[in-house]
Amino acid sequence: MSCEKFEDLLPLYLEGELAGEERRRVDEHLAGCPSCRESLAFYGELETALVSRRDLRPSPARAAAAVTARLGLRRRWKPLDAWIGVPAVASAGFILLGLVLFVFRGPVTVFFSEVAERILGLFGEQFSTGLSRAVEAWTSGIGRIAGLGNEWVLLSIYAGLFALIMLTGSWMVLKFVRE
Amino acid sequence: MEDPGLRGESDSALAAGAREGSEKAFRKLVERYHPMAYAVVRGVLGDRSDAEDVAQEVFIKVFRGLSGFRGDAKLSTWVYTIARNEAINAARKKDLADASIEDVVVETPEDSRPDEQYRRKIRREHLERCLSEIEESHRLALELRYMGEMSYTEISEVMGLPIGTVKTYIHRGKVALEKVMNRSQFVETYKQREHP
Repeated sequence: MSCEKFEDLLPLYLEGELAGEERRRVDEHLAGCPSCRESLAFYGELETALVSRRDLRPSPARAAAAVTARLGLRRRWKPLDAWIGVPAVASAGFILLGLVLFVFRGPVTVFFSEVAERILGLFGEQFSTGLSRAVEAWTSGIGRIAGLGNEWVLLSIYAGLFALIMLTGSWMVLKFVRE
Repeated sequence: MEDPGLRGESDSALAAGAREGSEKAFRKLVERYHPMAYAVVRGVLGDRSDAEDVAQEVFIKVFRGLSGFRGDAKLSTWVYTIARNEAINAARKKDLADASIEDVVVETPEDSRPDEQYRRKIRREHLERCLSEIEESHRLALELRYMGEMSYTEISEVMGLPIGTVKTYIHRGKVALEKVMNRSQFVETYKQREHP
């Protein structure tokens, strides 16, 4: 086989594309042919030079930023998914319940007191009275410390819970929805 | 920097996300296919300084065409086709002769100025000039392989050619480069880089 034929095989030889008998014949030829060895060195260097050209390539992230800027794309909010409505519905329900309790605080308080008393009655009168006093002492105690009436203490606890739900909801929205 | 949130997303998921207006998905799509698009543009245009602008234009076209892309073709093939057409149009518009390498003063690699950075620049320009002289299909395959870092299978898919043909193109491209380059001086200058 002529040198020209062997030289044609050298790029494949370098890429490991030759096997068996073909590879062995190239090895034998290279051992006795300085010209083909020079050619092999060329292809090796060419491979290195072609790979090194990658530094000409702009960074994909930079290119993506340039393209989105040219298109005027901005980060945007996706429409609310169904599950994202959960904290929203919970907050709305909480507000509604708060309003109902506030507007009908007289009858509601009586109703809940009766229900609570009946439930607590199951545990015995002594336990029921003790617990009611403890709750009363706790709310009035906070009220005294803060200089507020019992209803304001309950309202502030309520507002705190509401704020907690809203913060959790906002966090979920920011974490999962923002594009 | 690659967004870890979309690293494993399939092409169709990225295309769907970008189509629905997700900037994050579109960015990821650009990051994934920019090396290929840039390689295609360079493969078609040869040594042209506006390759980066043309590659950006490719993704402007991709964005605008996303609403019509329904996944009948692979995303890579679709982007490849847009990149190739865009590069051909760019070449036509600007008249390649005006911006061809002949107009750029390229010094030969045997220049003996000792500065390594300068020598590297000369070698690089020499290689670019030689690349621009070989057949376009061979250059395109070489660019996809080396600049685009694509496998033979990927190249064969986007170019719509059998793997054997892709290998032949790359092989012939290298042989053609050997013919147009000054082989011994090229090796010598690279040896100087390795062992100054």
